[in-house]
Amino acid sequence: MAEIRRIRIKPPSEKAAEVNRLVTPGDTITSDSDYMRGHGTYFEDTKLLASVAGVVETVNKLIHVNPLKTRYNGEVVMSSSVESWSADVVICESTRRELRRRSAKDELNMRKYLQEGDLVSAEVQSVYGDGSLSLHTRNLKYGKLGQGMLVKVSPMVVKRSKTHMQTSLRCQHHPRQQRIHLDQSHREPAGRHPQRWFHPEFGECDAFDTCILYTYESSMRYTITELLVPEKMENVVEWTLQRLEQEGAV
Amino acid sequence: MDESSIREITSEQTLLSQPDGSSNYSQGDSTVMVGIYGPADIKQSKEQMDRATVEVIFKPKIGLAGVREKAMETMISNTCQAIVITTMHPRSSITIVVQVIQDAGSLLSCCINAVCMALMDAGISMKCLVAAVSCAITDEGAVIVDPTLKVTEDASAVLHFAFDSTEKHLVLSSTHGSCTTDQYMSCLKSCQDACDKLFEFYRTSAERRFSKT
Repeated sequence: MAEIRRIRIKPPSEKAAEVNRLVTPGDTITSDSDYMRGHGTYFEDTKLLASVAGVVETVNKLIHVNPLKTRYNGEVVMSSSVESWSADVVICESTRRELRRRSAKDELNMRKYLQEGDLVSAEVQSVYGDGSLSLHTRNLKYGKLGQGMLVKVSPMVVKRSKTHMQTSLRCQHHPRQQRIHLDQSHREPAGRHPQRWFHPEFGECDAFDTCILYTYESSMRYTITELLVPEKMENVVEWTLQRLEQEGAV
Repeated sequence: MDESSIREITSEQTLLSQPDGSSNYSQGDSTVMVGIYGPADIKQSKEQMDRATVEVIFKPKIGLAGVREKAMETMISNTCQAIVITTMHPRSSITIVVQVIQDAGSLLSCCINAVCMALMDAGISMKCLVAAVSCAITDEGAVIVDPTLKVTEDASAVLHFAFDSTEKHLVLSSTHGSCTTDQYMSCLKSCQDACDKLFEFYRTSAERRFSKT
């Protein structure tokens, strides 16, 4: 199964200014008023102090402190389906092309499309006062996720971007069928997916869809059993990082 | 005046998977485990419009929580509200669960120090760190810092102090028993000197954690 570790995101190499400095809450970062305040800092009189335990990072004139753990705030939700069907909890449109008004019959038939425990890609329409969400799948890119694997990673690793999408590997390009017995050729691509690591000792890579695709392609050079060896894992990550650097994405 | 220093400190962070921050902290044989959830949703009746609400749940080793535990909760909560930047998270809650694993003296100080480490682990914004030290005044008038359970039981007064990391100002002061003003001030001075060891410990453990990544 996938090894999940927490890692820090490295600052872009061309902008790394200072030696990374560790601070704890209350430590003075600078008395220079030239700098702008970022996350993990606060002003007191003229001094800039740290409010979390972490490493100070400077990007031009912005100083922020990167703690070891943060929580993810996102807009596009990838989550398991709701536990109960009720008209006032979740409003979910059909995933078919034509838009139809909801009717009582639709609600009864919903079970044919979605069941508890299914994975859905949806967009948050609105947030109610009590915290529950209204989701919609009104776009062709949303809907129920078919055969595949869910890999959970730490929120720290996810690169901040406007849209987050689930990665479609080759196996998912097959037309949506009912769940049939997966033979070896189908299983292999799915098996490579968990071997996506963001392991601190091997290298650091933000999780975004291009990165995952490149890692997948790099891993194609080995068989599944070979990939279980740490050195091979390291190679795969290195190749991916090289490729991303060439393209200037990292 | 007899003075002793704080017993051996050991701590562990991020040991629990569900809370946002957690820590296991021991001072000698006194051990406490803390889990922190937050900033998170809160019931509308409890929410504060301009700041986060700090809730503490103190669980004793044996039995149900009673009035004494409620008093501990209030003291820990007040200390946290003084150091956590609650205005950063309005209408949210920060829930701190403290579980006593073993009480071998200086329990309140242990709890506060454990909570501080867990807050750091959770990445919740704080103005500064806090270190708590207890001390006892024996019948002969000697001041013993970080007393064991036996010393506490025979003492004429037990005092708990908590200090902030920037100016070492007093954040919490709690007294059981009776003592003179001079004794109080000398206890305060001894505890203030002793908390250096704790701040050093916080710093070293943070450095060790970050050097691994």
